[in-house]
Amino acid sequence: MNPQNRAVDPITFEILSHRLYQITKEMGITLERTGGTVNTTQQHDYMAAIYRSDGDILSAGETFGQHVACAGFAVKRIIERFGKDEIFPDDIFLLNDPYLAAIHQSDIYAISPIHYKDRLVGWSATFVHVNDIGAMSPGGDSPEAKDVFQEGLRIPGIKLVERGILRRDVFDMITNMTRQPGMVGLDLKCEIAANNVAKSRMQEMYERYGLELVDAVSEEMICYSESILRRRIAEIPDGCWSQIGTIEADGIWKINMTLRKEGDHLVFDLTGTDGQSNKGINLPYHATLGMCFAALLTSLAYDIPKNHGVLRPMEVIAPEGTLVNVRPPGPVSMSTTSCGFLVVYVASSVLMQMLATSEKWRKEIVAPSASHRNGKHSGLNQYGRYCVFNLAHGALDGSGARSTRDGTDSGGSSMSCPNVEWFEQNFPILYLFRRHARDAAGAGKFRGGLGAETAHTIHDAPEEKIQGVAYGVAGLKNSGHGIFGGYPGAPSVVVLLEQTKVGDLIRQNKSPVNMAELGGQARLLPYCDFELKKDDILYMRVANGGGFGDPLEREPELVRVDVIKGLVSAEAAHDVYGVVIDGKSHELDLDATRLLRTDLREKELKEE
Amino acid sequence: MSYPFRENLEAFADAGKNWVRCTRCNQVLCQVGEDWRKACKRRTFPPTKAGPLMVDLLGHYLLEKIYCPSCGVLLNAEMVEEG
Repeated sequence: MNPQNRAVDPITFEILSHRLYQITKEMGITLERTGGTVNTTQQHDYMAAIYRSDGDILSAGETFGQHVACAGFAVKRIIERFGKDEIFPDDIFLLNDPYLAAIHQSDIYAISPIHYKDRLVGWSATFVHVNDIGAMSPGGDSPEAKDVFQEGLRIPGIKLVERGILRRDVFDMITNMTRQPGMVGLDLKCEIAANNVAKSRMQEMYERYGLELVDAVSEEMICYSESILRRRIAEIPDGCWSQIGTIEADGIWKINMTLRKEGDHLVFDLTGTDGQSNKGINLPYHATLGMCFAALLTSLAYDIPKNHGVLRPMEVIAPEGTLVNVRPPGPVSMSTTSCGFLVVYVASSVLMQMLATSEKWRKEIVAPSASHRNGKHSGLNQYGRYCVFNLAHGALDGSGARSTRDGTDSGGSSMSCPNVEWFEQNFPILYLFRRHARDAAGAGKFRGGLGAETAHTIHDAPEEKIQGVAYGVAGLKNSGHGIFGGYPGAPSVVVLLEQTKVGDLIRQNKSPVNMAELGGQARLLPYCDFELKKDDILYMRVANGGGFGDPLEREPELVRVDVIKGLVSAEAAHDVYGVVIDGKSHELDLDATRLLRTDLREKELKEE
Repeated sequence: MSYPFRENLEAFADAGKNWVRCTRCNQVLCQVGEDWRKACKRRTFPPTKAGPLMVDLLGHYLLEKIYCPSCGVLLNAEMVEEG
């Protein structure tokens, strides 16, 4: 933005724009401190943002970009549904209908109008991933659901709070339609609290600075983000880049992405994507748009205010009736962590290809990831109470390598994974191990970050079994993808091992950490419900970062250090990286390494 | 005038057209807008060439590597469906 065109002096702009951002941060802290479920209090599976009076995004905290965009659409749907005459000060609305603005029913948006002197001047919104939504499968993600009607409670917009009074009839009706009314009630109440904080802080701002100034800063923030992003896009040569992503759900499904860049405008075109599935992996159009928005935020807009200005230079084309623009009543319950993550992957991939054409921006390249499998459990816990819990292991994903350095081991995502002891204290499971998987990172001049591999069994479960759901991005082409010659990371898997020797090993005081000693019948799980019974083990490996550049160009000393740390095997150091290390002293033989690398490349080029 | 096209490749203008070439050996691959991969050397390997944990991909995917046809610098590596 040209400083001469600014309506607000720069110092006031900085103070008030940061204050608006801090309000969204405080909303997030409120969710964490007043929430009751692990999703909200520890895993950070929530969103908090504020919006302008028409629903345009004003400011968002450190949260999921896709939900920031979709909650803005939810505000617009509430305005359309209720009209300004039925929206009163201190109301709070709920909406979770994926065919209106939400992504799947488990993510309930709570939306609060902000009034100042009886005038509607803005909105706040949150979502938390509620523990249950009354779908076919406990916890919401329902692999067997064939349409949205089997995926739980669907709210097109309802007042939970009217003029500051909780509507007990609505609250009880919603919570009683779930398997965990107490926990869902806590989820809803923490959303009320966070929205009340936003309303209170915004009203303080209006009182102190005046409506006109706050509005001027708001408008300028959006213009500021838009102008910076458009300038960045314009600096990059025009072009067109493509990427296909695949997912397995009773067959292989493809998402086809082409990015066209002209001037200061980006078009994400998903034409050519497969038709919608009868599994709940489909995305509504607004969710696809939100996923592209999230990819753009983290690639080219990570350091500018997160608001509507980032949406304006982008356009998303997604043909109706496909995986990325589902027609009702197609199922969507697993969408966020399946096709949702896959759209972020293909969008990130084409954006990285675009950045590679710019001398200025190529240093920002990160090998993209097609994400991970995940799992959740439900059943009676060791205290005899029914519980539902998401394992959130995806927070332990390895990050993609960058153009200048290795990816971060367990760099994870926006979420967090609680520690082993906390899980074991609250839920009827025993972890056998949680560790980095050797040789799992994608090799490259810079290697990807290592993800975690874990194994757990049931422990002190009153029914000697618990239920499970396997979801996430299914298929062997998930995980980190290499870039510019870098190799992919090892695929993310969920494996059920039935009737293992884990009980015997524990009784013999042997540590059950070696998969080869555990025995049992192993089954790679697709999207499904399953049971974890006595002596069964659930093995999970999350996504591992893809590598950047040719593994034969990796600095040999870095390979040696990884071998010493146990992150790369001596065999992989030799065969994949072409590095010769003495097996006992761990000393490098640089002459032998040069010869081996030349030999490996010559053999590759000769092979047909 | 030239600008980066991707790692180890750049675009440059010559005789009124824009071309893609290898930055290591200056081998011209194609015009900008054409598929540069078609001009390259391609080799496929068992997926376990990328590491022992790729064993689950055996029979389903191959590791495809793409090199400059002139100097052999590696330009891309990815898993592709077998057959």
